Amino acid sequence: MQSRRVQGPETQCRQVAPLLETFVDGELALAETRAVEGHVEQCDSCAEQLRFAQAMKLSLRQAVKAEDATSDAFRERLTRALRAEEAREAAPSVEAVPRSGWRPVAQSLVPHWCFGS
Amino acid sequence: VTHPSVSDFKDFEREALVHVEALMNFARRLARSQAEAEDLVQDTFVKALRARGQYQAGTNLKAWLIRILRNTFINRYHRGGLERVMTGADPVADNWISTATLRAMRDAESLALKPELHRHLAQAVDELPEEFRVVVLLADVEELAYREIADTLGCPIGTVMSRLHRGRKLLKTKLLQHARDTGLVEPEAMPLEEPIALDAYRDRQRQKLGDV
Repeated sequence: MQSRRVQGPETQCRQVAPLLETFVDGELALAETRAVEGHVEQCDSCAEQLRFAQAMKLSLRQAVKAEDATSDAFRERLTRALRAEEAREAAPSVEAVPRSGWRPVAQSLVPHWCFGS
Repeated sequence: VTHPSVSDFKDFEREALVHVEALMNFARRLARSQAEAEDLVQDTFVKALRARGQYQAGTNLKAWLIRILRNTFINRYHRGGLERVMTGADPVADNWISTATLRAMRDAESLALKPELHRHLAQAVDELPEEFRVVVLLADVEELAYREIADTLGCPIGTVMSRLHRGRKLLKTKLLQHARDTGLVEPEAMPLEEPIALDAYRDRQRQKLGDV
């Protein structure tokens, strides 16, 4: 904060830096993408910032996905729950299947999808 | 990205269950216990099955399922609303980290992080405030587009981008701290000047082009 040191061709780096993350996400406009590509070809510092951002994204995906979280027992339980729900739907009428609770839950789904941030 | 029709039960079961692994990964990072995560995922699929008529064919099914999961989680565990974003806690990585340090944290062969940092990542993600954690997971693990994340969370794209940026900065700081603690890198000398913000960059480009 108190330091004024800046690496590389100062102005260009400062302009390209905020684009790097969005570049890695593939969400930049074409002109911005070209600006990043052109700059990192000539600037080791920004090229390394970019490679690190890519490494972090790649590692994160691998690290979180690597933990196999779904057991066979759970998959079976889930399938049974869905089949039970299907059977409930297929029943001739709601009155014929006296299970409380499921209709209000289904109806309350819609408004909950639109929560603010 | 799959955009199937799921109106029929068989279609739903076939198309939706493909995403059980992704939902489970996401749920575990929200719920923090295996049992709670499994309940959350099961509730999500049952709710989605009941509401499948409301799924719009042509949109991202996984994103739709994640939205239901997220809302179920909030309704069940967060009746008071989302936790507030902490302010005034901007991380070290607000500033540039030197090229040499970044290089030391990266594995040149695998293009990923060094194994000791890689192993630390899942824990570092779990330590992020929830608002940031969710956005980082949706972008980097589930690979949703900014637009899809915004739709999932019901917030503007700009909010997604700023949370993503702050979340990653925090992650980077945690990784840097871990790298220092474990002797992977030397403590940095002085922090370097912070780059300009993306909004400022775009404003400047617009002004250059004279189409303000």
